[in-house]
Amino acid sequence: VLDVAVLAVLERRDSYGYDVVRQLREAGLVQVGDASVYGTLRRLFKSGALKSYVVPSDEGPHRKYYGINAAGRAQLESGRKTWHAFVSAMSVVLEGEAA
Amino acid sequence: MEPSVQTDRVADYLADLRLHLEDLDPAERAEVLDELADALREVAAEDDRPLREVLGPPAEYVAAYRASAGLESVPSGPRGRLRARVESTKATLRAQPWWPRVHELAVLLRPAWWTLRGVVLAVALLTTIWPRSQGDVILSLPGMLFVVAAVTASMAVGGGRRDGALRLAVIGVNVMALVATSALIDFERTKHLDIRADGMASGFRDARRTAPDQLTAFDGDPVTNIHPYTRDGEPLEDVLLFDGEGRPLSLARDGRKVYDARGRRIRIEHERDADGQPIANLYPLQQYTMERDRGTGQRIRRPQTAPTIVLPPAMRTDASEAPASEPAVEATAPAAAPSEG
Repeated sequence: VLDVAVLAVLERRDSYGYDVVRQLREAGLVQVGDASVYGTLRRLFKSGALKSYVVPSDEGPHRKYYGINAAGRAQLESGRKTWHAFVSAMSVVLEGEAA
Repeated sequence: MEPSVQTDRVADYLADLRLHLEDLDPAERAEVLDELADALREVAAEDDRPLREVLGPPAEYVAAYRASAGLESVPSGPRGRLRARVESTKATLRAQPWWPRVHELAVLLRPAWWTLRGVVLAVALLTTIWPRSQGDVILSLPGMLFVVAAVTASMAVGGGRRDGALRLAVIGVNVMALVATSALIDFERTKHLDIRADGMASGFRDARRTAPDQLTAFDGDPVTNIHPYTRDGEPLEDVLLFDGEGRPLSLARDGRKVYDARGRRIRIEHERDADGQPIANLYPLQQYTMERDRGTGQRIRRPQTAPTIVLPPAMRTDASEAPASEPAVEATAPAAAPSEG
């Protein structure tokens, strides 16, 4: 799930690790750990779903940015479908039980 | 917050993280730490609290990172490489089409192995503790009870769960059992050879005692030395002996290790030829045993003395004139017919 969430964040715009964490938290995923997000970024990058580049920063150190690429988009799409299928199946189950 | 204090907090936490990433390849570790350092600086810039408080214990932080990054803890170094190799071999085996059947069979045969392991270790232990019993101890009632107890223990260990140190101990015991099994098989083989060789050995005890690599007398007792005498009862020294084929006659296969009837090792000091090779057929052999001095407790060399011999009766008269020197020659028949006069 975190894979899809990270890919979705990067689909909107390229960002660096801590920024991804911040965006996920702002979206409501407050429980997500920093380390898990960094680990996910590394794994996605290594698997070829992300590109990476360094941007010089005026205020502090250089930042390593991540961006989504074609493989990442395909993975995101498939993740989205799975997620929606899961959510609708769960809705049926839960509503069925409630009824 | 002061930038330097902030840097210290990051450096401290980073050092802790490094400890939990020691097993990674150095290049990968540097990369990971670099990336995490950037992230830690961002956190430290926003939050004044100690990083442990914000991010949790370093061990947990690294564990979460590794889990999501897919960096399983594979220790580096020889042990890590060995473990990785074992794992990959296991994976290859499991992928074979015949693996499920073989594995099933192996699982079925496990109780048989546990039994064998118990028996073999018990026998090895008993024969090590009482080497002089030559295996008879196993056939005694306490010996049998011990074997039964060992089998029971082996079954209990085999059937139980084991992890960590116990698992390692069991692996060690298994290796010992395998070694002992091959030793026993070898012993059985040589035992049979020996029985064939002397044709008289009465089974277990004699075959073992005569040590198959050693020349034996007809009663199965080992020949420990050869003492030549003249017909006058004069002991001879530096006599080279050869058999009918002209082969040097040595008492033991390797020419060095000779055991007496009680299984004690008799050490030999061979004279050496010009090439430094021991002359194994030069008799009598210069022998000694190592014994513990009862007074001082130290190990001392005890030279083997020549045996007391009895000359054939027909020769006694002649021998009576021989000087009674070492070794003691029982050749002075008191009422022998006088040879003088």
